[in-house]
Amino acid sequence: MEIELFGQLAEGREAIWKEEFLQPLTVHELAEKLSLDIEVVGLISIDGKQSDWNDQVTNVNRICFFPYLEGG
Amino acid sequence: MTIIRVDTRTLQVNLEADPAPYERLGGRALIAKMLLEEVPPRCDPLGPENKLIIAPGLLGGSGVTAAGRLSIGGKSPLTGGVKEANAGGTAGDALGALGVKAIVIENQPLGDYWYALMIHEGLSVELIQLNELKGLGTYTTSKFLQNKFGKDCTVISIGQAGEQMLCGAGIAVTGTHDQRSNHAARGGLGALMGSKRVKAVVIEKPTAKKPLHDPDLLHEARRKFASELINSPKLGRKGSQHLYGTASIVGAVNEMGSLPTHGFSSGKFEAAETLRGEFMRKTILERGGKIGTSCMPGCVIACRNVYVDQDGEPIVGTLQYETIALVGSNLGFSNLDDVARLNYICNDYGLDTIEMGASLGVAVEAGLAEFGDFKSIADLLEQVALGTEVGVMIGNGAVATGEKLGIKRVPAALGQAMPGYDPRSLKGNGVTYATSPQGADHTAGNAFGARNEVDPLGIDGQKELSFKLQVIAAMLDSTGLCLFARPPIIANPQWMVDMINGIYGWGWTLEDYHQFNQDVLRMELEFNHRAGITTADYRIPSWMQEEPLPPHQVVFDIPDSDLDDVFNPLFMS
Repeated sequence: MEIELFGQLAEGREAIWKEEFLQPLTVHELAEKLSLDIEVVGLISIDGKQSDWNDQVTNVNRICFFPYLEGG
Repeated sequence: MTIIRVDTRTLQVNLEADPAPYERLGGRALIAKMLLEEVPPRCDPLGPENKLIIAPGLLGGSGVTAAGRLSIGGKSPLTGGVKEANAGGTAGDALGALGVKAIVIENQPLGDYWYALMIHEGLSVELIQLNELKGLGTYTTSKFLQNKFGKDCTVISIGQAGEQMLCGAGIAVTGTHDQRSNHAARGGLGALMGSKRVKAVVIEKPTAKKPLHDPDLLHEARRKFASELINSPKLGRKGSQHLYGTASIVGAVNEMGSLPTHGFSSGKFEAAETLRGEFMRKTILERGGKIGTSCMPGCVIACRNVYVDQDGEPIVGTLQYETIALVGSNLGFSNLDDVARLNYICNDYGLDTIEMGASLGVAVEAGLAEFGDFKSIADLLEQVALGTEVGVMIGNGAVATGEKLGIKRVPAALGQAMPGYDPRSLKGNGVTYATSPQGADHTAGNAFGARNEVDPLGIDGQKELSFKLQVIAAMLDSTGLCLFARPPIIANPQWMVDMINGIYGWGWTLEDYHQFNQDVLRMELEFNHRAGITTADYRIPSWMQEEPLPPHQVVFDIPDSDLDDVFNPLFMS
């Protein structure tokens, strides 16, 4: 699985890397494993599509965590 | 509150006390009402019957953070309908503190004489002939006028594009600390200002404070509002906007496949990494530039920057997302230095970077320049100031450029170029582009900030989402509040009601607040209807309904019936 963190979520740590997991896990479980500040996460995408905390992610996916963002 | 009326034919200036039709209105709401009351809807937008209206929002000058935006409006030369564009800087707060409800610039002079309007504290107003300003860019114009009238004056000005009455022309507004590049960019309002031969409006820095009906009520509400912005982990100084600027969204929009790329032919730019806010922040800090500066004094979000070159010399302040999308990825540039230099040229000539990015993309498709080639694209842009045939074409916007060059793939709705979100993969924005009385305008109701409510690639819920966002945007644009400050007010609308009541003592209720916001859209739709704009005009161009957008291979497939129904809630009661 390719994981990328954006903005302040990547501050002080690696921004993009690959990691293998033994079984699928939810986005929320993954975020906990990565010790992300969930309150700051505003958008999640799996393979470029908007996703939610309960969606499943597997080793073939690319998942991105973005901080809260406003367009303007 | 006073309305300053300037007749550019007779050169008379009159001050009017707040007349009845315009009570309890400000900013965009006031512009809509004035257009309905005073401007023939089918008039020539660049003729004497149109009016340029400059109006602070209702909160202007009251010390509310992020609430000093200045609205400028009139009948749009670009869309043929209602237009309000707003800018940061110091004008909104200065006019609010001076007690100015609006400056209305009317009629048209007979000769080719150019004027500056000078507004002093105490509201003595002069219309001064300054023909030496003709031909100057906005940077030189504002410096000249601040040297003449005082360094802390606010200057509202047009560049060469506005002088030539080109439909891609915007209006520049100065701020503090030598800031010269806040722009009410959209809809060709710079052309409207040029049609009045008013090169600039100069506002003396006020020392007076805005009178307040109930200072305690205002102070408490604005304190809670500012505190929410400051303390939230996702807004204010801890938020992405402050840390990475509006470019913070480049990575997300690209990842989701909505970043305009190579003339709106893809939603994903492979070289977007070096356009992202994270990269921009690093570059600026390494070179000795500035991040986290404010366009309005006291703003706690502070999302601007000063983008500098490798020697630490400023190229442009500020480099923003929409410019990066339209002038960057859309034109095939992955180097922020190139984008910043093109941005500077647009700012100086007084051109809307969104409209120019789209125009230039169309010109590239026609073979006049190459994607990613700075010289060929800058050469086209520089012709705008020279007034050549090509320059006039580009400066008149994307639709005019497409018509001239025979290109059908023009990314525009209601005559105005689309901002930095391809509507095929962010369909809520497509609904807003199509249906907003303002034409394709992300600030009229940007669905990007509401992604979690509706699937951006789906159909369901888009019209309801767009409607809700358009009502909120009408409130923001009428009060002078920056759209980045909207979350606390959406969550706590009573704070806005209390701030308004604290300033004016109107006894507003939440119901009045909701009614006010919806009335703005009702008035604008009515003006457009009278101007001859029909439901068939409120559409996304057909090529975007047929040409799949990579990487998701999606088209714009929101049914026309949904577009036609967006504003039904306004007329149900």
